[in-house]
Amino acid sequence: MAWYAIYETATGRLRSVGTVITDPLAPGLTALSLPGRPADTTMWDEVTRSFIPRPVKVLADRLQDLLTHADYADFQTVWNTLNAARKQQIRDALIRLLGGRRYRNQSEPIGLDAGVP
Amino acid sequence: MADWSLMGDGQRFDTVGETSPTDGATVTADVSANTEGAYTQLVASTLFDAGGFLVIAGNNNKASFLLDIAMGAAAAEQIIVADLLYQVNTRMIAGALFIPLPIPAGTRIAARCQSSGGSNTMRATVTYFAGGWLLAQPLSRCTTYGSAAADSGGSQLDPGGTANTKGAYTELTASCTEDIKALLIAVGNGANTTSTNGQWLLDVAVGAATSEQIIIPDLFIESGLTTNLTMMPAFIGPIPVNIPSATRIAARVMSTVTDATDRLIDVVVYGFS
Repeated sequence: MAWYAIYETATGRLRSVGTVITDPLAPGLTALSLPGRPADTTMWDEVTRSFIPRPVKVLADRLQDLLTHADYADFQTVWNTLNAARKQQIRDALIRLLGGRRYRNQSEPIGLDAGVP
Repeated sequence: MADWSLMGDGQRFDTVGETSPTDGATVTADVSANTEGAYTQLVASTLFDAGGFLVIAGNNNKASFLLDIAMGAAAAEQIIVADLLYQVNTRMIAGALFIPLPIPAGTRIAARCQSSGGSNTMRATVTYFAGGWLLAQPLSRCTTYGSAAADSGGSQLDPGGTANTKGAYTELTASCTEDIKALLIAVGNGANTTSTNGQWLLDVAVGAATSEQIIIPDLFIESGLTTNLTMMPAFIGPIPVNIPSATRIAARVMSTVTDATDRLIDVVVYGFS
């Protein structure tokens, strides 16, 4: 079954995606034939009037936050007194401690409990 | 004198699948991702005719799951509810789903799942209950629309990059196979474990592309640190509807979130007929 992306001709704004379309289309709309259902890894681009790869999400590393953010200057002061072997030990322990919370959304607070009532 | 109306519904209840000490039955996905695992028996034989039942289940892993509820003998199970979508965070129950389907007395009930991660597990119980003399004829079939076995998820809805603006409709089915009398809607965040706080409004519509007519508007959904990044409510309904067979069903969403990944939601709908 053929898939279509229906968009506003003037603006490129996507209105609907599917296999059942009205015939004829309402004025001001264009139907783009697609090879199949658009992949979840793609998104509509109004400029090119096509599906393009979705940008990869960039996460922040709480480990890096500890080492660089101004809020943790005290930790950094101590960190900078350590030799390479000790830094690696601390780093490995922090990675185990943080577990699944090591990487955060860019918009998420650094603190683990920040923003949670 | 006690009020034991013979015409009342819900006089008898039984829960199956509960395990010691205080948990649901473990349902394990196949070792290969996105592949159905083996059935787990919840009960060998139900005690009485049931007019409906609750499914209470939750993930044990931060992943996407599709759960089937079936009845029948081992190796001959018949699925009665397919691909219930679970994209909740670890050790969180998504809710108690009311399934308005009958189960005859003496029925074996089983469950199986698939997951985006091999060998992932869920926990599940079923609570079934009897109907009264005047219980309306229960619905007899559940058909799933919009599930995606390839990633154990649902149909992806994208609100687009502009906050608080309805995105494009995404087709859930080109043509539903039965007249639908009740609709259950499942929502997930695509198993995005680094999502963000946000709110969504979801429309469910029928009709051909660009001629969609909204039947259920602005279902309110929220996700964030307070829900451990789980979309809530994860299940909505069943909602009484009247959708004729051969109808196209689509959905669209708007959100406060504009990030290209975090704004996405997965949706699956279940039509009861």
